[in-house]
Amino acid sequence: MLFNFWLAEISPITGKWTLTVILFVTLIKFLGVAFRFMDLKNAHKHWKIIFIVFILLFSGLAGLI
Amino acid sequence: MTTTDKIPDKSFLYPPGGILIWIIVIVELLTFGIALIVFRVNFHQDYDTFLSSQNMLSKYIGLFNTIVLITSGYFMATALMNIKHAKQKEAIKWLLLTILTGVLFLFVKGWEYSIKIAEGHSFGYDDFFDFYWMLTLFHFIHVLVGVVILSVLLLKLRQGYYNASNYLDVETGGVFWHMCDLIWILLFPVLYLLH
Repeated sequence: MLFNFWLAEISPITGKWTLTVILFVTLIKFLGVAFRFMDLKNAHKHWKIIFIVFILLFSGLAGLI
Repeated sequence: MTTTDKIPDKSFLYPPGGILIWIIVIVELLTFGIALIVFRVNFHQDYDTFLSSQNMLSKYIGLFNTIVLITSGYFMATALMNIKHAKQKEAIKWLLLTILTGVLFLFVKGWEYSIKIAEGHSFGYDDFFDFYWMLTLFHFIHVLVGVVILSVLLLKLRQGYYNASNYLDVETGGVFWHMCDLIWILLFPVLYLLH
């Protein structure tokens, strides 16, 4: 019974959290590389907005589908 | 324009490395981004096939290559910083390390490809592996081109062509290299982890 409960209730939640954590880490890594290594921090704010919108849109879509 | 000392800071038309490479980066990110979203849609339309095929990929190899590429990105950024501070010898060392880690990525990816081919999971095996081969091979070619670009830059750097007031080419090459890094950061979780 406990296993069924885990399978029915906890496992999907865990799965959802795993997805969220993976996408969050992806977002942080992406922005980290872009800002720190690629010198996005020294680019015009419109470039920053383009990159941030792209990764937010990508993470959102990848998470929703 | 070969010198970077007169480029105005934070201008939209003059991002670090030049506007052309940044347009390329945006186009590449959009291309891979759309392809990966299409992959996710297909994954959910044929969930069982995609999941069983995804489980055949080694997440550890993927994770190792992620660490290798991010480390390589750090080396590239350090090389560029050293050129800007007129430390030529240091810059050569870091650029060489960047190339070596790039070659390591290609070697490990090639090894993973050889395993997949030996297992019979080549192009045409199923829809998952069609996506896998198309996306990762396209990225592989980018890294290969990046290694060639960085090797040429290293050669010219050793000849004294670049210095603290002339480093735009290195900056452009660096942006291309970081683009390979960014694409892999998107590829790895979607292809190897998400289901």
